[in-house]
Amino acid sequence: MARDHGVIGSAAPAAARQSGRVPWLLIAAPTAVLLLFFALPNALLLSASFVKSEAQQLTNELTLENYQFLFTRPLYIWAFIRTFIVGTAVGAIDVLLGFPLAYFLVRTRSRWKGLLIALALAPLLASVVVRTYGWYILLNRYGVANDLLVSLGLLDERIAFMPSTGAIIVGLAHALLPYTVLTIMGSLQGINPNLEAAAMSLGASRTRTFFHVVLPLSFPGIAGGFILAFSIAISAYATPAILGGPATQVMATAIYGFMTQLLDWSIGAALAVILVVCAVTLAYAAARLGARQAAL
Amino acid sequence: MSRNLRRRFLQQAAVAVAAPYVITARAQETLIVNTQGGEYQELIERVVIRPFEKKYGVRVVHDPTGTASQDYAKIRASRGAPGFDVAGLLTPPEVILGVKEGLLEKLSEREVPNLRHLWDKTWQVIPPGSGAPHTLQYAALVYNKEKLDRPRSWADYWEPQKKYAAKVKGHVIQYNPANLLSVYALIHAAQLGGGGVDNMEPAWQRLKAQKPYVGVVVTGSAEAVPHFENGEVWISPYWSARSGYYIDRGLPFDMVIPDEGASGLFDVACVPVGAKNKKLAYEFLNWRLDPAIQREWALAYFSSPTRPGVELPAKFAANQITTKEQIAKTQFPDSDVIGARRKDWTVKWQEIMG
Amino acid sequence: MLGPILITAAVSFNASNRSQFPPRGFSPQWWQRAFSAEWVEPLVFSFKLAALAALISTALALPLAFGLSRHRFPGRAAIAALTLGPLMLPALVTGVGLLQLFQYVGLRDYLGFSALLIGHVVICVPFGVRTIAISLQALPPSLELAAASLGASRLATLRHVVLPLIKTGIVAGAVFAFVHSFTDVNLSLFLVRPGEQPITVKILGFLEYGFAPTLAAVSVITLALPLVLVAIVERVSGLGDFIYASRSRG
Repeated sequence: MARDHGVIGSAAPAAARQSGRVPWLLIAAPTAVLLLFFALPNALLLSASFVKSEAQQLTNELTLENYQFLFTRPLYIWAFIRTFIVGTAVGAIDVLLGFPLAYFLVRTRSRWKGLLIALALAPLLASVVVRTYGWYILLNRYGVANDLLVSLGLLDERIAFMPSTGAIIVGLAHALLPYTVLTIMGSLQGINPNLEAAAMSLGASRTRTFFHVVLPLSFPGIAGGFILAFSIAISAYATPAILGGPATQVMATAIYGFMTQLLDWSIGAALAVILVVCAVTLAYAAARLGARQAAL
Repeated sequence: MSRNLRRRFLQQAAVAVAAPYVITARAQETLIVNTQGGEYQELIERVVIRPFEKKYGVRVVHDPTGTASQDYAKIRASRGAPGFDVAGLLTPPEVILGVKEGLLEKLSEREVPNLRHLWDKTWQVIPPGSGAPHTLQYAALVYNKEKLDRPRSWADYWEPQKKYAAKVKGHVIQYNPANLLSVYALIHAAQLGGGGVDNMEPAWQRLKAQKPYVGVVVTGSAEAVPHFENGEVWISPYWSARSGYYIDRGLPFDMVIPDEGASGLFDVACVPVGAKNKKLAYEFLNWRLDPAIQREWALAYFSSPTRPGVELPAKFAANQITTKEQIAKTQFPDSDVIGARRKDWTVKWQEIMG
Repeated sequence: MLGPILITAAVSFNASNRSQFPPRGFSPQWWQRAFSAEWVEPLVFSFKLAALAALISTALALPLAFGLSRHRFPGRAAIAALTLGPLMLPALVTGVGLLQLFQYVGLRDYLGFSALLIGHVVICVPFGVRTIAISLQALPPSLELAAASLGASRLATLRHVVLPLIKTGIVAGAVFAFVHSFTDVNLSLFLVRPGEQPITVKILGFLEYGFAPTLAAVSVITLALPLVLVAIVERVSGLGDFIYASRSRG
């Protein structure tokens, strides 16, 4: 019922969906901006990945040794894997936590609705400083979390919660939760509560209604929220830099190190190319597969 | 040829269009100087920049963003026109790179007369005329004097268990070699084992052995300070100037020049080739090397002057490098080699510490 | 359910009030410095930049979202992927790339506000596209068909039926864009010009050299000010209901 896309869901008025014709008027300007100010500068910069670097200077030699360097080092292979693990974990956690929150915020009739929504946005506005030292104070070996757990008797000895991949995931999930909440809210808000009422009046239990009516209808929001959190998580620099360490690098920290500390742009560019190619391929696949289900 | 013409046309067209954005004619000349933020910003503005503005009747805009390597990344990305006229806080590896890539203006005694008064040794560290070294400090050992006895050697940091036994476990700090401090400490470790910049194997052995005792790993020097303050880190290599500054403000630490000697560091000010106000930039560099300013700066920043003959109180000078003998004894690691090998060392370090 | 939100807010506020140096308490001198010109200027600059970036990126995102979600054409998935790109690539890379590009074409005088604006618009567009597309998706087609059958032109349908109904998506996109621009540091670091720098870059300068209590004060302001603004706007205009009006009618 809810899965019939012909009635509810992705099909826009028949006249608007013209297969094959490119809607130039709509996409020309934005696409041009993206091509000119995103694709072009990055293509220029990342071309350095195919050039050899000697003593930090770019030479004129074309080579694949930068990629070879990265693929033969477990350190960077792990950074790559870790990046995508973190991205997926953060996306999943934020969707799982964000959905109930979003549901509540959309359906609540409390007077404080606007304020609650603003509070939900609070982590978004916290600058790197606040988040950074906030998490440091909480999670370091002499920090608040350890104090609490030890005094409660749950821990015999202080443990180092950070640096660790887990700490990175927690920090990012916290920071990006508002994105999924707001995105899912956008989808939920479009669901007519009468639908749920109708389903239940026809005899469906709350659980069945939820799983067969609400969830499928809010799928675009869920998918969108996941993709948003995932994308930001894999490119995030500050949180993994503070909550991680040399043993827990991600692509962003590695790129940062090569581009601005070691000044070896060949390898930095190679790292960036690997990241963007994999991520964009995923995005492309998602866009094609999800064409009917998700919003994009 | 015609490419240059086209570029100039584009530039002029852009300038014409950009007219509303460009700051309209100012009454004074303006110089843009880039150094660092935090306490450094406060000190340099008080001791160097305000007096300069007063004396020459100009306006200095101080840009406190970026570490030395970040500033250089900007210089490189913008092909020598990063938006500031003076890169006020570069270290020798960046300076050498800048000369090789042709992004830093070559200085002579005509433009910056005070260059002739500097220690001769500076020109062994950076290429002659590549910049104006204005601050001299060294990598010392700092230790929490309430928790540990005074260390004597770099070995007390690299093999802390020998002097301090198991109690020091978890209280040692390591720095990412992206920080020059770490590179210096590693070179000392290599030297302990008979090696040096050309043979870092003894350093890696010592790093592996030290790893179980390391409790904190950071990259930036400033990141270490909270760990000093909360008692987590008891012994660390650290720059002499900043150590002096923090100790003076009550940190329960003390600073030591190890028996093997100190490794010196010059902070250098350079002029990118695309700087807008070069004339004033040269004046600023010259000002920085003026004996009175060198004295005031050394006292404020707890560093050493880069020219001989600057009068400093005896007690203060005890911790500084001010005489010919001291300069001769101070070793300056080969920044050329550091630049070439740093990437490999950093990767190796990450693999060991990871 | 309120738990996570409150804990979040509490941690944010609490953490920022902790001084790093041996406790000096809440002496007002740090707050005084926080309100001085050197901090207020970048704060205002960030506000202006973020507001403009949000406006422009949402304006660009609107037609793009329509085009991508309502039409099927060859290359659609590619453009959708391109749209996600700026989010997936560390902003640092785009920043360095843009700096290089500007220098290469001789537009270096545009560094500062203009370059920052362009960079921020680029990294903010993905948000608007996503949220608006989701809103579009949730739109029952029957509404537009009904409007058409009642004689409304395409344009009128757009103005009076579609746009009001996707305002959630538009506003969400704009909010995300504003926040993303306001808190960005990695891209901005490379495109600043002295005197034209966002508050985040200024904070970074301090951060790399030490964490002073003034910084904590500024962080609280950065966090609290927009919240207070939103709360005020909400009280005065019932913005929450405007955006999230429950659908009690069919």
